[in-house]
Amino acid sequence: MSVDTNSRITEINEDIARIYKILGYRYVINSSLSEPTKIGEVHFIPRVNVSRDELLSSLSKFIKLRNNGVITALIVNDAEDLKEYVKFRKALTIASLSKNALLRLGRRGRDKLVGLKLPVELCIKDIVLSSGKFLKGLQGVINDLIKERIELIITPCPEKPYEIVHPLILESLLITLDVPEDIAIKSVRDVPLRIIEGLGDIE
Amino acid sequence: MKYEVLVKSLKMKNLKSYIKSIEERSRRRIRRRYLIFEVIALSSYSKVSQDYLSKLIKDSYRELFGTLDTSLSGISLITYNNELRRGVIKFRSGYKAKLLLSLALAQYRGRIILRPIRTTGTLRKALKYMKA
Repeated sequence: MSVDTNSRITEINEDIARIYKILGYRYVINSSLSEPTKIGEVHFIPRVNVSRDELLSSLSKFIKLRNNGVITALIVNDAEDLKEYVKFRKALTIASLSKNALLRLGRRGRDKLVGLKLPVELCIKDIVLSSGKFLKGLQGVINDLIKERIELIITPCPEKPYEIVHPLILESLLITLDVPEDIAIKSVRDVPLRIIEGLGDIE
Repeated sequence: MKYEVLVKSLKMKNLKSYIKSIEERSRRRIRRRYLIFEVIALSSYSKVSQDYLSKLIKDSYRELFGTLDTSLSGISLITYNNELRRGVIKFRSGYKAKLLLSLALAQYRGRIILRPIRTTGTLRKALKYMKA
């Protein structure tokens, strides 16, 4: 049983639910949904992506959303997005690293990420389709993961149905990056499941 | 006396090199593995040929890990059944993670969904699982 924490597919229908089910996913957190739904055996849960500025301007709104079972994810582009993170930490569920963060997130940014004490999310698509660029940020995040300073979530981040990837492929990405197998399994299965468990009963 | 010591040390040397050669032989032996996979039909699914899939997977592997690693991994699509939409990829053990990762890129490039089903050590078992 796996969880896709960052689905970007806009049209959720039976065909999408069937694909998710075949690939072993039971929970899908989708950013285009406003309410939780269940199609077949697959639960679809809403998610909100926020920037630091949005978060600080309406903090109480996002705290409320989070308490109502919506996953709130901070999109991190660089270290500036993590400035004064203590102020908005309680409104967040996940910190999601963008393509830019993978390219240039330095030590200062990573230290803030560690201080945030939230699971850090990465998209397999951003890494596989990086077309040979040096991913400085990714290298640092992987080192922090191996030292168990952060908890990582690897997701397919699909925008189209064919971008949904089997969980075994997600694990193999981390193994290829020299992450021990037990940490890789934890990043693909256990950490996302814990986020779902934190939401309480899902209908 | 000196002669005996010399013989003994020679024997030890021979023994050591013999053990080393055995270790190296076992290290050098790379086993073959077979990955059974399935192409999941999308609503807009059109049949794909074995040649197309083979090229797609190899090209994806080459794009991610380079030409040298592609030849070392020994990946080749042995069979693909269009009706079952299942196939078998042969590869050398130790390259499983890389092969699986290249399936992700093959998905993006080919706009198909590939589901790895199982890995086996013999082709006979792989064909059995493919038809199961």
